[in-house]
Amino acid sequence: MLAQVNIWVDIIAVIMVAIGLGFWVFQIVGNTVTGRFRKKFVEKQWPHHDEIVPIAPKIMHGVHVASMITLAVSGLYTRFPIFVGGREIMKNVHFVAMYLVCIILLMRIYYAFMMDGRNFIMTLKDILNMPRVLMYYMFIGKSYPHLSKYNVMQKMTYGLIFPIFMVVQAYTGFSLMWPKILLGWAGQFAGGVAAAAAWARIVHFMVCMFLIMMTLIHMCLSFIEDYPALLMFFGLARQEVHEEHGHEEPATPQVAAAKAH
Amino acid sequence: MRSMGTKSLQHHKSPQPKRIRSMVRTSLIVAIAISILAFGTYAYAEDLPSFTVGIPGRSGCLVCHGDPKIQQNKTKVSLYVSQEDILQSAHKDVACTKCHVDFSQASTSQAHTAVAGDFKKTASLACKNCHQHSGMLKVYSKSIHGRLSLSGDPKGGASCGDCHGSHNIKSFKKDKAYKAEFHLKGKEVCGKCHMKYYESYDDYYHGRAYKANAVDAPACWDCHGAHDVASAGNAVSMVSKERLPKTCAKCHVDASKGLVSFAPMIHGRAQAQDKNALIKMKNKVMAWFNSNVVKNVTAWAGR
Repeated sequence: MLAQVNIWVDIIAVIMVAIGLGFWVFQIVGNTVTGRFRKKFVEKQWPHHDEIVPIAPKIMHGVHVASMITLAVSGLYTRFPIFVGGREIMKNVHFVAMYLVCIILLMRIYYAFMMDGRNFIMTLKDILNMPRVLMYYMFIGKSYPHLSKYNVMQKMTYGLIFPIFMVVQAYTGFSLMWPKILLGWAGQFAGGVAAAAAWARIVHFMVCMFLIMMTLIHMCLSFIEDYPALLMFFGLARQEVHEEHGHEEPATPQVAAAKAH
Repeated sequence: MRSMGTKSLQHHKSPQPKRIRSMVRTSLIVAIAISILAFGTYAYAEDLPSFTVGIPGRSGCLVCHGDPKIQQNKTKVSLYVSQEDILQSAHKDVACTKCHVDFSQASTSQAHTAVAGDFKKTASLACKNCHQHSGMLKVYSKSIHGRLSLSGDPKGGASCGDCHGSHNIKSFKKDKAYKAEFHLKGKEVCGKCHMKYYESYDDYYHGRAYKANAVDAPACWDCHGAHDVASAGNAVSMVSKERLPKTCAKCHVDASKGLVSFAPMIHGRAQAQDKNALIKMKNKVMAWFNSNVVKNVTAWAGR
């Protein structure tokens, strides 16, 4: 069972990377054909923002990017050791990056609760808006109603998919370190703790590949949809604020308060 | 002043012929020595071109066997023994004849052996004479290697020296670095006879990791056993169906049949891939593409 599942897991991993890279090709071709590239990169019609992004989420995002890339590289080396003698180094690097990611995740959740969590809350309007957002990304629709700072797909990705899958990664990862403690409950279903750990390893790898796919898509859309914001987020450009922006919901309580005045 | 002048005159007159004689004598000796060395070596090299004179600084067997060029005349098998290896080995103070127990000074025509036989085999089974390995020998004699080796089977099973090394043998107990180094020598130790199996050891976390020098990845003997190795079909083998869960439990907590379902991957990843429906389909499509599209395009381009 585990043998065949592992073969399928490799196939699915390749498909997921192909989807991520294919998305880039699809978006580049689609944006060129529909003239969106010209509008954005030549005529500079970029989305407007009504608030300056604080430094804290930018730093957390930067550390998060670096440690997630490190985790992916060192983790993939464990399954596919492509050069000789890297096991111990990669293992230690993986642990350091793992602790960093966990700390940043906790800090970001705290920050979201305290400061900008509202941006990630999905409303009924968002869900109803989803088909139009999808049509826009598939080049069937020209635009979609701009309801809040993030669209429904972004809210789902940043507020649900990434945090949930990161928790799954953390749990499966720690369970490989301490299988008896964290997988004792699963042993009875999988046929022993070791078998449960083998399944946890499969889940860990699959989620890793899924996150790589999602990151490829996220990178593509960040670059194509809002290149200035991408530069700004990594501290490479100054952010411009446009007061006339006015989407339906104010981004943060601070902006709401400012608008009320 | 006068007396000094006489002395100096006497000094110039009388010793001159002696000096010339002595110079001539010295020159002759040097010339003879040079010709002996030059022609002697040449003549020797003519007889045995692959063999050179023993090098000073070595003693005993190494006078001859310490020469990298020494080899059997007919088979051209090297008979060289590295002095460095000997000095670094656990047996640096052990006389050669302690292992080469069949050595006979009387016979040089049959590689110094009293009876014409395999001197390597004899030496590699001599460990039991010194080491108190009676328990290990008992286990070994029941193993597939031991049974073949001790019964004199022409195929021959691996004996002590075949796995542990010979002149460069080191102690696992005393030399921890060597133990770690030896752990990564699966290709040299087992692969020299079982290369097909070594190559098929290619799953993710065992074989591939092992071949990438991962210290925590299992070497062949960690799963198959060492002195007690048996063929996989044998129930006593560490990798038999019955014993596999226990073997996996050496590293995996609470290993059971659930985990053992991964075992076919360890030496059979390629076969497992070939069985996969999607990969089968991909291979068929690629074969069709190569035989129809690529072939036709190449033929068209070659016109």
